[in-house]
Amino acid sequence: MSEQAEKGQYRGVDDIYRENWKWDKVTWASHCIDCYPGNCPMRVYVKDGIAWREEPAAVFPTIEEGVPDLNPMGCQKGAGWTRTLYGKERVMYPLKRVGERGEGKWKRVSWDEAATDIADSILDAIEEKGAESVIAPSGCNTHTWGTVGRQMFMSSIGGLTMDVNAEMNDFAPGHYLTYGVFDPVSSIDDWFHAGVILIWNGNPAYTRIPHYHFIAEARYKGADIYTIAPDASPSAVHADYHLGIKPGTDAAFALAMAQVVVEEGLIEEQFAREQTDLPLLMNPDTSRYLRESEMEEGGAGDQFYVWDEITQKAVKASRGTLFWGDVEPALTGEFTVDTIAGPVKLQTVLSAMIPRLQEYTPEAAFEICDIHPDTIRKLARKIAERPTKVVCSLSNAGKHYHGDLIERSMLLLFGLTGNWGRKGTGVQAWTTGMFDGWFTVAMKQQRGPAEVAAIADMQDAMFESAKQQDPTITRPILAIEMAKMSTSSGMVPPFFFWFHHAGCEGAWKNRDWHDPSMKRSFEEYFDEAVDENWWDGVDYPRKEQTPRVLIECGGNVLRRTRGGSKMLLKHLWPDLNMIVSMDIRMSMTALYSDYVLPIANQYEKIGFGIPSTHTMNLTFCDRAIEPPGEAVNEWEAFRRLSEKLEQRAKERGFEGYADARGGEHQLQNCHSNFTRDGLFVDEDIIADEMIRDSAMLGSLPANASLEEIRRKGYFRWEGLGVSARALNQATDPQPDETFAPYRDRVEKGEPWPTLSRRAQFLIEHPWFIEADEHLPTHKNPPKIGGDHRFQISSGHNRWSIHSLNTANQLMLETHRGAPHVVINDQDAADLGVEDNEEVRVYNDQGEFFVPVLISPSAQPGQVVMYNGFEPYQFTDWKSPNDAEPGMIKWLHMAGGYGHLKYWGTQWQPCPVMRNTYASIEKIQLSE
Amino acid sequence: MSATASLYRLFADVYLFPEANRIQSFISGELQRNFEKLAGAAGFQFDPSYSLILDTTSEVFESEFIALHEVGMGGAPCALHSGHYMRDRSKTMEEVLRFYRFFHFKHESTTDHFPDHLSKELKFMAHLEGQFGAAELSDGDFLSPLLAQRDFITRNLNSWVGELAAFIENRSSISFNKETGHLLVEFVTYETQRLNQLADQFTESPEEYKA
Ligand code: SF4
Repeated sequence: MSEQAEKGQYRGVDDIYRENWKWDKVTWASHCIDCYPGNCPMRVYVKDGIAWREEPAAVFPTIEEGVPDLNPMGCQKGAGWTRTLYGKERVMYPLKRVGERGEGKWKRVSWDEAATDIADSILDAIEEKGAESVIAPSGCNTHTWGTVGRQMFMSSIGGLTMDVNAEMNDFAPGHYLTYGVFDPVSSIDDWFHAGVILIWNGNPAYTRIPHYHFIAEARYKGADIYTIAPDASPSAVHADYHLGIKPGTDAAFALAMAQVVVEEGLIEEQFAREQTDLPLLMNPDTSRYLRESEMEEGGAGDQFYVWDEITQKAVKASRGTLFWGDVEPALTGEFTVDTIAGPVKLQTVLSAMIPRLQEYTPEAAFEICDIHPDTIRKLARKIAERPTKVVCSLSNAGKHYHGDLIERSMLLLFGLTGNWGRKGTGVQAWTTGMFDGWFTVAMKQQRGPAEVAAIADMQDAMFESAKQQDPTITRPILAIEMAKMSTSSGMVPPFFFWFHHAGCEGAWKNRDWHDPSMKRSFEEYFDEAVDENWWDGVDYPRKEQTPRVLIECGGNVLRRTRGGSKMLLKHLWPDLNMIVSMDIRMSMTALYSDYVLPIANQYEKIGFGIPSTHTMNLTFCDRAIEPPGEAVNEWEAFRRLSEKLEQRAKERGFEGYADARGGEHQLQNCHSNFTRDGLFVDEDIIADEMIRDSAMLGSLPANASLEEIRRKGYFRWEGLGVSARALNQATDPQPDETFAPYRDRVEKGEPWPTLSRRAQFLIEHPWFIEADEHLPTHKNPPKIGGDHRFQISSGHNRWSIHSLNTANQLMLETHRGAPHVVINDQDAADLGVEDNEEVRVYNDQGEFFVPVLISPSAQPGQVVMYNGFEPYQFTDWKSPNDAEPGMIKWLHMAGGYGHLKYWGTQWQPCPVMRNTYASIEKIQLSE
Repeated sequence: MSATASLYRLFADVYLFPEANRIQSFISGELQRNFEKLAGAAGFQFDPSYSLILDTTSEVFESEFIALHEVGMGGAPCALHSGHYMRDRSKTMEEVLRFYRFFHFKHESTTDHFPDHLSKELKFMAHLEGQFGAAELSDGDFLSPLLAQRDFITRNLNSWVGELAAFIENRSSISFNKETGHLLVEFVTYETQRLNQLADQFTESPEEYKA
């Protein structure tokens, strides 16, 4: 402090600025989930209990010689996070609704009062309708404590947690159908190895700010960058080529390139033979593989065949390895094979595919997708020649009704050209895993390594026993099988909830909004899926299990749900006796809740970046400051609920009960269970356990601890750990190499977790055959929303990956600052609307009002509506979701076939919103 | 404590979260009486048509307080933190905190309101007023608190309470809230002029002022 200040002698405002501030502390931070993959290390500067600023502070080493490092990492949201921390939207005290829901009238209450009321509502709900009537949507912004705390709380009461991947529509059904998992993820630095980068179904200039430099760096190195999108997106500015594709026709474009590859003999044959089912023999009449059960009595139903060119015989395709040894499978051809039933004419899957591809010659595809045949040919040849990567796909193709066909077609092209399992190749999705401590901590009764060692031993024993039964099984495949069997966590695919209770039923039953190849009514398929027990154990809540309590933690169900807040308020809200929002801010859902419980934000609690192979690091966010007011972290919030639930259960004599899935629950000790008799209360202790457990299971360095990460800020993954999703990335992380998934499949011949144990293009499920989708094809998007002139496409809003930052004033001021739709200038002229004029966008489902941004970047007929805005940011609080019915494709309810079975974040129907049809109308102002 | 300092504190209380006893003092007319008494003593012309008596229930008052000042869609519509009315809240908080530190004004951001909360700022003005009075009496450095008061009210309070009162006028259904808002603006305006005059007087002719 200056002498003047010491004396308190003030002569002008300059004097107060003379004191050099020394920070009370500087901590590591990141922003733990909102911006997947995030994981940018930041430093946060604290004085007098306030986090004043943060700055990107990554000092990652070069991983692979010749490949740029990850530095710097950060984005505008992160660099301004303290503004969100101190934004007007923070909620700091528990609030109880005193007016009508949504009216905005609140009363401050103590945590104790809130928890008592909520606990009683939960007990009432369980008594009245069963445990399945307590519902937790899955927010993305749960951070470390929300994820673990909610899971433990909900499973302790037997409630249902909705699968996050369906809620956020980030599932990639086509990847799943082909690979048996939806989520291949290479490290970001691996983009640098690509020779062709396809920005396809993405807009990294908006959404991947910390990582965009790898695209630029790859380009300097000679890669060609393509954007493939209906609009000249902000990423198109940075590309070498922009292909303005017609909305929803991407499958035709991909198939046309596959056709060129086949036609011009550019197939990488060895790769296609090993990696894919293209050489497997199938019966063209039944569209089914040749099976061992057809060749010998008692033969297996999952043993398939290829035609061996050497012996000129049908031979079994190994299920334990992708390598062929002495066999030389024919990739194409027709063969007659003697089966039990007599000789049968068969062909390879690729041979069945070729006539289909002939429908997509570049000239034919041009008519569909509007990409010039020369461009298609040139790009196809490049892809066949160079390592090619689709960056930023992040599952957005899955947001199309026929997203599965788009993805399958892309993968077919990649399977023919050797473009996965190698550096610089492949498509991207999102993943999580490696940080096994996240789930081991929920299984432990005590601190320390003993129980984790037991978990590891148990896994070994299970693997050995599984191998006895099936010598071809691998650890990654077993991990998936185990995940498929585990339904006790209460995580369920939400489509049953949406169908029975949320109001989606009406739209989903509208056949006009489905593809014409849906031969029967939607409900017939729905009923069949249930009757066949394809969703056994996860087909909850049932119709009679009316939801009574909804606990929203880290999400915003009224903003996010397709069909819109109006639909939920009409169909779901009246049934709910208790709605609780745990949030850092007053979201739309919080506004319509009965209780809002204040939650600590980043920097106010410990947290870890979402663990993923994207950044290859576990990044740490320390508790730099205390939460304001009475906010607590989510773990503590759920602990308080557990404590009260235990107390009220005892007081009410609430006896043990079973949920509808058979799980036993005793709430009279739910708090002691939740905290392991007081062992897990302190976040430092739990976090340290998580880190040490992960180290034991091999994903983190052996010396990893909370203390060490607090010092260093991050750890690089050393292994994949034991979770199914991580193991199925199928590549051992190396300290000095970029990470490309599926290298074990290519380099070691590790089989895929599919029915055929190969990347599978033939899906024999009868529904797929009926729809003529047993092989990849193109279908035009159905008329979702009705017969209207425009097609709505969307994407992530600038600076705001999810909705968390959309209401923040500073973030709003960095762009137009309000919701808007982008429409083409010709369309605007037709409609007679001016830039920034509010218009009505409507269809047969609903309407919303929004100003237009006129730009030739949008195609004629296209409406770009960036998502993430809160409904209350629109006139009459009607948002685009009100006009987007969130159709699900009937085929995605299929099951009972090979790998088509639900497990967390994987196979399930997810609502789509791309290519929703709508009209735009100038608003006529009355006098 | 001087009447002026007490007036600052009285206003500070109005904008604290309304505890039951405080609401009672609004309903019973105690606030009005205190105000009248102190305004006269502080030389602040208090328009007698102002009614500072709360004529609604404590439940309604609390609920409106929260809806106006604490939460709302996209944030509280009438936030009580000065930083929300300035270009950059961090910079505002920093300046406010620097003032507090310079004049040893106690602030704990975790358990208390943020430093730029209206109540806090008003209490700081009272704190400076107290320092000024004490220095005057002891022939100490009264100029420091006087100039700081002038600068703080000019740079901070006077630049935003008008906007706050206008927001309250638009949003509130309770006349007590509107009236106290307007009165706050009048008081801050009055104080800004008074302090500027006083500071000018002193800096132009300190001897005359001392005399
Ligand atoms: S990308 Fe995410 S983690 Fe990185 S700085 Fe931005 S908000 Fe933070």
